[in-house]
Amino acid sequence: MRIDGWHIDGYGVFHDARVGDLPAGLTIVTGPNESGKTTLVHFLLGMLFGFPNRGAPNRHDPLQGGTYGGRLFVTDHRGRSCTIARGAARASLELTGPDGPLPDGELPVLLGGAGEALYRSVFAVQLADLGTLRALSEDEVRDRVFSAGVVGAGQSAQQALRALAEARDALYKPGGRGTGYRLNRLRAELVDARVARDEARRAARGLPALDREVAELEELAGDLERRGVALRSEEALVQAVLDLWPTWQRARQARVELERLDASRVTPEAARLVELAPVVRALTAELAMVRERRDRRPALAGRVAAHRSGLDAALAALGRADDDGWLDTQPASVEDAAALRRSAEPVVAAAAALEQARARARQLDDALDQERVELRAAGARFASPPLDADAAADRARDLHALVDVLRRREQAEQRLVDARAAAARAEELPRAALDAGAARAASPAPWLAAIVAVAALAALVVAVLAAAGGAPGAAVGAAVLAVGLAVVAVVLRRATRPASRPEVLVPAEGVLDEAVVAAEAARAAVAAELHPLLDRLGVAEPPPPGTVRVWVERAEEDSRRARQDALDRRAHAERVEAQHLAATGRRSRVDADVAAAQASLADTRRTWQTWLARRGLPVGLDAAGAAEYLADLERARQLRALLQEAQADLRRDDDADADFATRVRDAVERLGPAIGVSVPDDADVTAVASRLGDLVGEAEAARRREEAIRADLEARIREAHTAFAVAVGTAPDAVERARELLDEADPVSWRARLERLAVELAATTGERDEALRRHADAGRRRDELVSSADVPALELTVEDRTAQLAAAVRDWAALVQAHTVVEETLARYQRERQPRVVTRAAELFAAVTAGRYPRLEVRDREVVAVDEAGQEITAPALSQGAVEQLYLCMRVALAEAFAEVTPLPVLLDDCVVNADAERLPTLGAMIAAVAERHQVLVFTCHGWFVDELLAACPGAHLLRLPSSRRDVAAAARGR
Amino acid sequence: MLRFLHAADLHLDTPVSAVGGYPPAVAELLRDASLQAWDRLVETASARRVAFVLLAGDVYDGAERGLRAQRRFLAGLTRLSEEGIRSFVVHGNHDPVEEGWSAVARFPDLVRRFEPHEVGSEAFTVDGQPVVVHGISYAVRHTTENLAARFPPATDGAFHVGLLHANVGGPASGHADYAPCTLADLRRVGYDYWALGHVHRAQVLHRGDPWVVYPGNLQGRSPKPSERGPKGAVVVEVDGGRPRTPEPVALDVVRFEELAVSIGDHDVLSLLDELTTRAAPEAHDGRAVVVRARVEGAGPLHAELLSADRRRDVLAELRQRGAEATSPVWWDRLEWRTRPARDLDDLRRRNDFVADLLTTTEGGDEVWTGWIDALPHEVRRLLGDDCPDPADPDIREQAIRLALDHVLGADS
Repeated sequence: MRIDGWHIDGYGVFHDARVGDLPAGLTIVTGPNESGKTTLVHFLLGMLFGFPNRGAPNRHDPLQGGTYGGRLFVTDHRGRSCTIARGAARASLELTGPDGPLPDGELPVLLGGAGEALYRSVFAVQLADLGTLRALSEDEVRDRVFSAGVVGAGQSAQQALRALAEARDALYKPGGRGTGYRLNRLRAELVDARVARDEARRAARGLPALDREVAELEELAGDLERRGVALRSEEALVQAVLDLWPTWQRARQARVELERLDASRVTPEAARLVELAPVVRALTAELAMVRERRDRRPALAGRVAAHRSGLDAALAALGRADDDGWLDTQPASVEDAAALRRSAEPVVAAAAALEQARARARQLDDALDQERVELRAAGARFASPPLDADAAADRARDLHALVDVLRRREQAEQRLVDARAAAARAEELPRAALDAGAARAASPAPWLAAIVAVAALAALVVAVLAAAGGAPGAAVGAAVLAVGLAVVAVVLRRATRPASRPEVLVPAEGVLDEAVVAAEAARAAVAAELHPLLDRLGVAEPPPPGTVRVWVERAEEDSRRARQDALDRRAHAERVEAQHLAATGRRSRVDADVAAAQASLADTRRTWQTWLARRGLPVGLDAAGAAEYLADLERARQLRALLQEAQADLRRDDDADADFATRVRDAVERLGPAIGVSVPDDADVTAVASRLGDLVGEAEAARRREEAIRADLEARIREAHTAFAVAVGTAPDAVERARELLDEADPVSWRARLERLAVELAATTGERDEALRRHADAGRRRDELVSSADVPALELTVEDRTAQLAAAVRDWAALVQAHTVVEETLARYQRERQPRVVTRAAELFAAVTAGRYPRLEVRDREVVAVDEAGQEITAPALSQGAVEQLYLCMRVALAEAFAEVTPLPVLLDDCVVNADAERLPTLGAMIAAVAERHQVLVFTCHGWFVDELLAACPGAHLLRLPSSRRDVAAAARGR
Repeated sequence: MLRFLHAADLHLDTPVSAVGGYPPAVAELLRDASLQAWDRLVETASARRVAFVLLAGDVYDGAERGLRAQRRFLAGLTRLSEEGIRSFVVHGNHDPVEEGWSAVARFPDLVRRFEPHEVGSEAFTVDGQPVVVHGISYAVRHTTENLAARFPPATDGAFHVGLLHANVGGPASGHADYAPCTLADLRRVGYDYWALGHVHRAQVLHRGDPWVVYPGNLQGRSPKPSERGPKGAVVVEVDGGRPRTPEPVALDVVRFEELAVSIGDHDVLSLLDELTTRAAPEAHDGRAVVVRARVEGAGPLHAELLSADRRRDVLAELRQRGAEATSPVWWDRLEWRTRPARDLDDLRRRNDFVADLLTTTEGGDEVWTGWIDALPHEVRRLLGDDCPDPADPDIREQAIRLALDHVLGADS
């Protein structure tokens, strides 16, 4: 691969810098210091292998703008033009061939498999590589020069060998001794673990026998222990019996005394007394109450008599003397008194209302009487009009009177007829009809009203016929007409009623009969009036009508005046009559009120009597009487209650006394005659009871004394049993054995036995202790054996160490193999590749040194220069400039060797800075010679070296970088 | 229904091998694992109410059987016997009758230990089903006789069980060839069920007529493939005189597992989390776990964890997490098989020392096997079978990684 050019978008001082058409041979990049030569070298390396991460050295972020990175134009080994484009990110790599994008994997192919490290080691020679040569030790110089020709097999191989050897030898170094080596340490631990395990296994075989020994000794010790326990138990038992003996003896004595006590028990009478002690104590406890009852009896009897007397009086007041039971039949009570008041109230109210109505009636009767007087006076005035005292006036009045009498005679005749007719219809027609009939009879023009009435009748007939004929509309119309005509007829009748006709008072009852009588009387009166009047007129018979008419015409004037007078009197009479009618109406209403009040009073009285009857109270009582009756009844009941209470108290006392006496007698009978007390009569009961109490007290005292003795004896026995239980325990065998011993009652033999047991126990204890000691010893030996014979744990240790040792051996074997591989590769490399490199380097070095050092030799991983005299000069012994030239020759030779397979551009960055002036031409010639076969890019700031290179290679491409940073970009862009 | 339990290769008190460097708590767990697994077997037999238990050899791990193991074994048999469960025991190459020693003078009544030299048979009835169990123990470890040939044929209608510690299939099976026999030998006698022991990986050699079953060992003993995963016994139900498919029952206490995790896009923490999750007891029936992990693949994490110190830190962190798990998790080993993102072919194309180094690794055995001669003989002797094979490809791979990592590391 060779570089054809580049385009730097942004990198260090470069921005948009484009270079192209670089030759396959030599390219010289020159410029003063800090013009960007090294930056350009880093750019090229970065384009080929990737840029450093941000913040890393030699990153060269853009200073003049642009996007970090750029493109590199190359031609591959097959002559294809390719472009490598990169940015800051590793993923930004883009590889493009003539036919378009190429996969990233093509880049290693393009680079011939060389990585950055290899490229830097082989193809890129920088000032820094040479500069460090000066600071190195001689050995390091030797190594560096040697490695310069054996890249990968030099420094790196040596480092790898050293690291592998170090790791390998940390595990094991053949021939190495001591536990400093892990293999040896693990081996020793494994051996120890195996020894321990084997010993444990052997020991484990002895375990069964030792187990048996331990078991036998354990059994023996157990037997002896049990024997010792038995002896100690026996010893303890005998000792306990001995200790117990005094107590036991006292208990035995107590039993004897108890038996004796049982034999002399108390008498049956005393026993009965004790048995009946509770009964007797109860009786004596009641004595005080009995006496108290007896003391209060007279007062109680007095209360009974007083209450009896009071009750009798109360019953007598109620009319039921000596009839206590009657009170129970009277349900009335104080609550009934309240109800009584509530029930009597309506009666009182009704009576008051009646009285009020009667008073009002009386008041109205008086008013009516007054009205009647006035009415009668008015009637009288109307019936007897006053005569004018003037004679003329008398004549005129008489003529007028004659006319009037004659007219009234005629009217009286007609009124009589009407009255009689009305009387005939009176039983059927209302009073109004009577009036109407009377009115018709008195009407001066009845025909008009009659015609109208006939018309109304005809209309009515027509209505009936129309209804019957199925014409309801005509029927209704005719009916309405009939009603209207009837009304008109009535009005006409009223309108045509003569004003002079005297109004007749129509009484409410029997009025029509009276009218007939009155009419007859009126006719008689008129007749009576006529003759005197004729007499006064001086005529025997009534004059003829002409005369009369003259007289009448004359007298009409008088008559008009008289009529006017009559009208005035009639108006007065009508007012009086109206007042009388009103008074009569009010009187009638008052009568109704009186009747209602009477009915209400009757109802309430019936209710009251029913209420009384329902409560068994006398029906004739009024409210006050009933209240008083109930009060008497309540008083009687209270007295009876007090009487009954007193009687009950008396009976209770009697019963209690009787019961007490009965129980005293019963107790006496149950105790029998032996106690010397006879059955008492009522009077002696308390004394007998008191006596029984004394007897019982004596008996109980005797019993307590006996029980105290018995308790003491039994306590002694219990004490012995308790002591026995404490001393002997509850084990059946021990109890039985102790009882046997106690039954022997032989303390002397017990003490002898104790002595024998002590001797035997001491011997057994000694044997047991010896067995236990031997058992403990055997157990300890077994435990030691078991712990030392923990085969599984030791087996595990063996396996652990075995595994670790095997793993260490594997690791060691891998390290040995790795070391061997590297070492053999290095040997092969030195054998097959290094000679060619060294030979070529010798050619170059000879040319550079103008033949002063015609040969180079490799001596034990060291390159030595052989001068013309055949003297070998080691690298450190060469001048600084010669060493750098030798190093340069080695690198160039190596690059040429690599380039045979992987032809890559050679980058030489200020690599001749220390060269002598006389060697510059030869160095230039050497580089030019190399450039004939490979692309070489020389970066230098030395103009004289540029001149030398151009002289050696006139066709070289010269690329000048501007001197100042500011101009760099512009210059680069310009190019 | 007749039901029985079949187990083998109890290896009671067997030490866990090929694992090391664990703390005392883990050591105690590993030491007691086989005994606790035996306790679980007894508990399971009781809970499942089996009629009998078949133990097909290698009850103990070696002739030098431990006292503790013998006592624990006796206690379990006693409990089974007290519960009316019969036990039938044969001994195998690890616990031959005439080698080693016995701390047990007498077994409980319902325990039948078959003697060597002659096949023993015991007939009994379970719920009306006649059963005959035949068995024979090893007299000595190296028993190469075909013991199966000694078993008598079944001549009645009873349910016949053969109890034998044997290698079926001969040396080609990959197992120590003790009491070798063939399936034909086993089928010849007409038994219903062959309860075998010896092979630690559970497998059914023949399904029905007869069933020929290796239940595997009771408790894993090492990180070897055959010792990994669930371990235990099988419970067999017999219906109408014919066994149903044996039901595996895991009884192990500690489980051995091996994981492979690719670094891929992992960072260190996510790698730790994945390893922790996959090794967690919850992922392994709640058992304590002894785990080996292989970290492999290419990715950025390769360079980050190239340093031995960092790798030790990762292992230490995993062990810390394992100690805090619901049941202990012991990270026995982390094998680092990661590689840089760069492909080996790229490296070969470089035509440099690395390319030469890769060429060297393709060389002959002399590069790889020379180390064995430098290893002290005593170490080889001590390790015996545990000593790595000089041509072990894993070691070779590790060596190549080491060489590349060191050279490339130095390069960079």
